Amino acid sequence: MKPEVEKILPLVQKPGRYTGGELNEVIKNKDEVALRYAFCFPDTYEIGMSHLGIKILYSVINNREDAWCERVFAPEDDMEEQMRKNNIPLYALESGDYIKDFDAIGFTLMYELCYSNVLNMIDLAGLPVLSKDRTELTPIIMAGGACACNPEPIADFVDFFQLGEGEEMMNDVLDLLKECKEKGESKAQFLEKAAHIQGIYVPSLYDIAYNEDGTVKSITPKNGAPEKVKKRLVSDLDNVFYPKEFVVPFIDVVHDRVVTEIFRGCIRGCRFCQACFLNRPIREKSPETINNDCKILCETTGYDEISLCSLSSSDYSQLPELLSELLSWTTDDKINIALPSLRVDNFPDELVKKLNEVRRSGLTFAPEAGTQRLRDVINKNVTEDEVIETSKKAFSGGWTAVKLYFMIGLPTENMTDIEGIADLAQKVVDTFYRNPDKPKGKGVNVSVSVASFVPKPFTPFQWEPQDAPDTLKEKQEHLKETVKTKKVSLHFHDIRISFFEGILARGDRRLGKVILKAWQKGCKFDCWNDKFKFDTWMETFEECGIDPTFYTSRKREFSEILPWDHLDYGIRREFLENENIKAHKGLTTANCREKCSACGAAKLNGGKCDAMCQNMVH
Amino acid sequence: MRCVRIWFTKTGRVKYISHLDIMRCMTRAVRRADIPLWYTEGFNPHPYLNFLLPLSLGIEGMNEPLDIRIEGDISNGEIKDKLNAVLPEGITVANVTDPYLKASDIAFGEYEIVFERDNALAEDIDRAMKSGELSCEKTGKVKGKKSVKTINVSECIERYAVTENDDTVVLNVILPGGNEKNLNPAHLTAAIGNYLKKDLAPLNVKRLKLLDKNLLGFE
Repeated sequence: MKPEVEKILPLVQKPGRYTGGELNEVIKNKDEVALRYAFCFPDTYEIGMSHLGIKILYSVINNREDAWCERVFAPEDDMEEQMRKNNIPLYALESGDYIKDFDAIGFTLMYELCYSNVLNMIDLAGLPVLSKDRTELTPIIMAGGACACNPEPIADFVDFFQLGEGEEMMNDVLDLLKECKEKGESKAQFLEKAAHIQGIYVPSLYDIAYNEDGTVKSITPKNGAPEKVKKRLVSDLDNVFYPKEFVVPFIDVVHDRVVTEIFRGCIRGCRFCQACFLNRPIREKSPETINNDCKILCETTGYDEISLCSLSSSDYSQLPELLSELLSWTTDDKINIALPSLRVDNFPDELVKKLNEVRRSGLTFAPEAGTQRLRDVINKNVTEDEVIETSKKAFSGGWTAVKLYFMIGLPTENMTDIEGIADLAQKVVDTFYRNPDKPKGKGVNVSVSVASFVPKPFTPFQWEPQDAPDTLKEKQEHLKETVKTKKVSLHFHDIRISFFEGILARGDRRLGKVILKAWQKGCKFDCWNDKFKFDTWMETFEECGIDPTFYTSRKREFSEILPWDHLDYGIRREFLENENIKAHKGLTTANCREKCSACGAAKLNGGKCDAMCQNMVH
Repeated sequence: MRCVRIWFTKTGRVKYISHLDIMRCMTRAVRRADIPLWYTEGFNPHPYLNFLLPLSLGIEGMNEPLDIRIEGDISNGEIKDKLNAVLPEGITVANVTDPYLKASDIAFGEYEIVFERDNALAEDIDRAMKSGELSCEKTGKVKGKKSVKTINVSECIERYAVTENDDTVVLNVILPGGNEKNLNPAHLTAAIGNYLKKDLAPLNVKRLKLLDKNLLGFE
């Protein structure tokens, strides 16, 4: 660690965030590597160290002999103040070296609300925030992650984006960067070549023209850049690189445990869910591979919890086999297994007992909407009976607390649907008291989390208007009035944050100037309720002459060119349009295992999809 | 089930890791080390670890005791080797012994506080230590409310020595630590700073060892 950093550490909260030196961090000799990579996470250490993507890519890059990847997180306000006061630029945790001297800087974009942090970190590093002002080849700045599917709002700041899964794409990018660096080629030369790697989107190679009404008129590639940028994906999860070690943080982070994915993609097709459509087609990892990964990771980290990660755990086709293999050694080693994202409709009985053997975890269901009508609209194929039936099982299994997730502001929603939320929660409470096997002497707590719906690109709802903040407020108030019992506790997301998220999610390149200006006025950490400066953002929109409701409240026509139409995630636009029409008719679509609905995603995977539907449409 | 006492050092950048975090780090280390552990028998089984006297954030520890409970056949030497193979940078096991004294026998800690040398700092510190007038304010929370109390630092100083080197001034001091009375060395430096009316930020603070009530080494 640099002495100037040591001087400021005693002055900040939780200095353990800024020291590095954790178990399993990778240290290399900097004179022996050709490329130095700074993996930046635009949020705090505690959030970033919980993120699976960073763990995978950290190992992928460090697995190369010619490259050294180090971690960087957004410093909290007190640390940033000390860094700026003492002229200490942003440094990487492993070596303590300043990242402005690195060859590549990569950001992961988990949510739209981190954009201002991306700017702030580039600036803290001592680099110009605008891509065009960074004229040298290195450090080249890239970004990937979920928000790369519509990166237009931050296209001015990032040199190129990685669409899709990074395991293989990252190596292609680094090979090219190394070659260009050795040949002494320019940034422009590198970017033109990079645009031909599948999955790489170089925004500066696309000209955007606008209509008078503000919508996109045309998106024109130049200098040989492809018309459509196809996302990259990994075909075989059993043979793709997976880390054997995780960096084990000293300080308490949000998710501090072994994580392995069990499959990618989702067969459900809930119409609001971006992750489902971005990550198709379905690709499963075999129970043997998962079991081995978990075993090795438990040995190298000493963790006592394993989380099996996917978009819908119970849709994994070999779940019973996997769990019995895992439980054969985890119970003896006092290791707990967590299965997030279980669906209510196929939650197997015997698993409740087995999973409870070591430590009991919470139980969360996501019916998302209060009435069957609306659940059909959003294609969340879960019935009330199923929710009640599963709660009943869970209560007999000894649970006394249940979390329910809902959304408000969904397309076609009315006040009856809002009342349905309170209704369903009440029925879960009643189920508890009607249950003869309920735990003695205990009450029930049904915690209801209510998020506001934000339409996202690459979903059937990408054309839908988002409820205005006032409407959402009204709906929240109505729900509060409808809930009569204290057994149900309500939690709402900040409406202003959802509104702001909605602007960025479907924004275009013109938002760049707003983001730049708002950041200059001190906006950062927008996803933290206590740090989000809504008024400053709104004031900045006004100064830049941009009406934020253009991005949120407007119903888009199918004929409109969307700012992300040149990016191809495999899902056919006609499929999404059709799903949108079906939603408005209240018609559901069967899940991929029952019937293939020809979304088109398998095309990018040589026609393969592990949904294993008999009548797959290619 | 038997109890063993692990003596470890905590040096370098891990000094910025808090006591609670070191506890978690050690829990994982004993699991990784494949030592036959005894687990608590409640609803949430976990290994038993007891740090006899927690070390404050920012202080290096040269000989810190930690008791763990094990089950099965393993020698103290094996435990030491297995742990050292899996511990992160900065934490090293120097020795593993049977516990001789009880945690409640700890009465003092011996500290080494290093300052950057300036003209008369050694004499100044010596004067302050002798003065009998050292005090500082300690803020804390009593029943959720912020409270400020003044602590008499001078009466806590058991023994001290000041040495002057080329670039540094080193204060060796024995301060109370244990069940009955405690003084954090940060309060001592703050008190000296108050007395000398200057900002005194040490370059490094180390706890060298723990002592019993007769100032003999804790075993």
